[in-house]
Amino acid sequence: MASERKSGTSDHGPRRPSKWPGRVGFGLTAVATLLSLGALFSILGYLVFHGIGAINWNFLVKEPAAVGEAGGGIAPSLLGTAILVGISMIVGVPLGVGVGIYLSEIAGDTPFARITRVAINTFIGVPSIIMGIFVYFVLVKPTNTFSAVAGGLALGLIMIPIMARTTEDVLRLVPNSIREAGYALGATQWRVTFEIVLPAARAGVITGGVLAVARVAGETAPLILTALGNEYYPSGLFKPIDEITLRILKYARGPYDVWHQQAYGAALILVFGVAIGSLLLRLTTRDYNAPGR
Amino acid sequence: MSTATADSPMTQVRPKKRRSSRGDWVYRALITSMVCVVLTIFVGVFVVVVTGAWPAMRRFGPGFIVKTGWDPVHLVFGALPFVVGTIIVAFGAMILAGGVGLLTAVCVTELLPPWLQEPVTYLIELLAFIPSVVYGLFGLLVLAPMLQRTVEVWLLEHLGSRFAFFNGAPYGVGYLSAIVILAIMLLPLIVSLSREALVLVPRELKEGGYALGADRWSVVWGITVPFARDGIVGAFVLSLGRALGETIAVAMTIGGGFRLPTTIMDQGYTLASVIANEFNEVSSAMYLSALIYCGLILFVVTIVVNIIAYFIVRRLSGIHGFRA
Repeated sequence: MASERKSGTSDHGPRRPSKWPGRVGFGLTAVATLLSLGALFSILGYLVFHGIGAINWNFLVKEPAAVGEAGGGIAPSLLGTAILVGISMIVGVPLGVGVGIYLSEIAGDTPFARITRVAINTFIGVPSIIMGIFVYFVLVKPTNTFSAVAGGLALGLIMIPIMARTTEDVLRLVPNSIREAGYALGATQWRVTFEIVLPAARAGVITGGVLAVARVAGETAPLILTALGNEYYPSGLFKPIDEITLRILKYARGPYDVWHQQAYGAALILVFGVAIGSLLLRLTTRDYNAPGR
Repeated sequence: MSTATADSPMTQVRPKKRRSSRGDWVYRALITSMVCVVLTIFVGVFVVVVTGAWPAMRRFGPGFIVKTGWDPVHLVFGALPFVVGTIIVAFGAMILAGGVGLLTAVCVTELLPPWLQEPVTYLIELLAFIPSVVYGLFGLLVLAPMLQRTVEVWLLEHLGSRFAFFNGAPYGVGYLSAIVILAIMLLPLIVSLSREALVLVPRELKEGGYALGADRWSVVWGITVPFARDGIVGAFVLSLGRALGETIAVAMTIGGGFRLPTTIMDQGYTLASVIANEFNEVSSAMYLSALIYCGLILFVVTIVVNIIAYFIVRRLSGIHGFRA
């Protein structure tokens, strides 16, 4: 920019600038894009390169081997992840969808609605470890044990604001004319919500749910304070429980090459699972979404 | 369709007067009570965190934030090293990710041919699907050793003698690794939100620029980016909130340490990562309370940042339908 100005000006507005700043500038943007894509591909590349060797049938169905020894698997972690995600959905989906319905269908622009909206958007950004602290004090400490329920509750609480906002967003995409048609036929508000608006937005709500599940399935920090993790199959809802990200954390930090390889393997499974889930969803819901918009 | 209300986010049709219906009453009561439960939980989270931090708050007062020292044996705690660590890591990552992310967004919207825009955006947004523990794994086992051999050695040799900030021992794990890994994690958020803001710039404005004889680059930096400024600022503030609160990836790559950093290669903690790493080492009630106090500071800061981001973004959504 500076170089354009000093090399003379004309009376007819700015002089046509030289091409060089643009070439250098766009070159820089291209470099930045390559860097961004490079980051993605190197992470995925390393996961596949180091992780694929760790994945076999035993890895999926066996318990962890003795410390530092080869072999063994992550079956307890996979099972624990499923249990934790299940509990989190029991907590997070109804409350999240309920708040979403409130914001879209009932709230309007009352002060209470505005507070709710700010609160939801604020809590999306609250670090997940804070939810872990909360559950630690309300559940882990009183029951004197880390537990599956505590872990699931923490994940469910993280899910609520995410679920609420995506639900609100997709319900808003349902055209008002459809609601008006319902009212014109004499339907009550709850029937309009549950028989017209929600079915019309079904695919979007499900997408939001899967995204929220994908998000909490990758959470680690709150689980350190709630589920703790161990080496065994889950033995009860009020017992400590292992989870795949806790396993990755433990293996990544360990001193053994076998552990590192298994950490890559588990990470590959986790990323692959999340990616497949969201991709399937994208494909299956595309058709449904079109008429709703 | 009533044109006035259809696109306005604040008003959905609600029947003003109708037969009173018991079903509606139950429906509203149920949904509203769910909202109350959620809001109560939110308030409860704050109350519980304050309660947990209370013993440390009484003992150390607000000076906790500006004091150093972390001695679990004599129960002397000060969070300044973690506050400084959080600032260094979050802002370092924001500078890296903000620069690269904004340039990437400009490249995607202004330079790439249309058929490439969608796939490239999709690929970069894939980064957001990678769980933070996987970033931590990559940072700890791949990135940190790589930085140790290359960038850190270079910084030490070329800048170390002139700037004390770069004059550290290249450990690998430390602030620099945490900054780089966090920057990669912030990229998808910054790119996709900045891109949304850039795409919304009206075509007429850019055409006006071309009509005045400006070249593409001048239009981008003189018209498109300034016009999208609010959206980009919103994206940055949201990302800052994420950066401050990121826990596990930072905990895995920052190394751990309780002293004030003097160089960018030191090992230390952020407010979030100290909780995650030290929680299982807790040896006394006061130690736990001091960690929760760190959590409370983090909690309050992220709430403030997120409220600011919310109002920036909401102001935009009123104008363009921008949605963060």
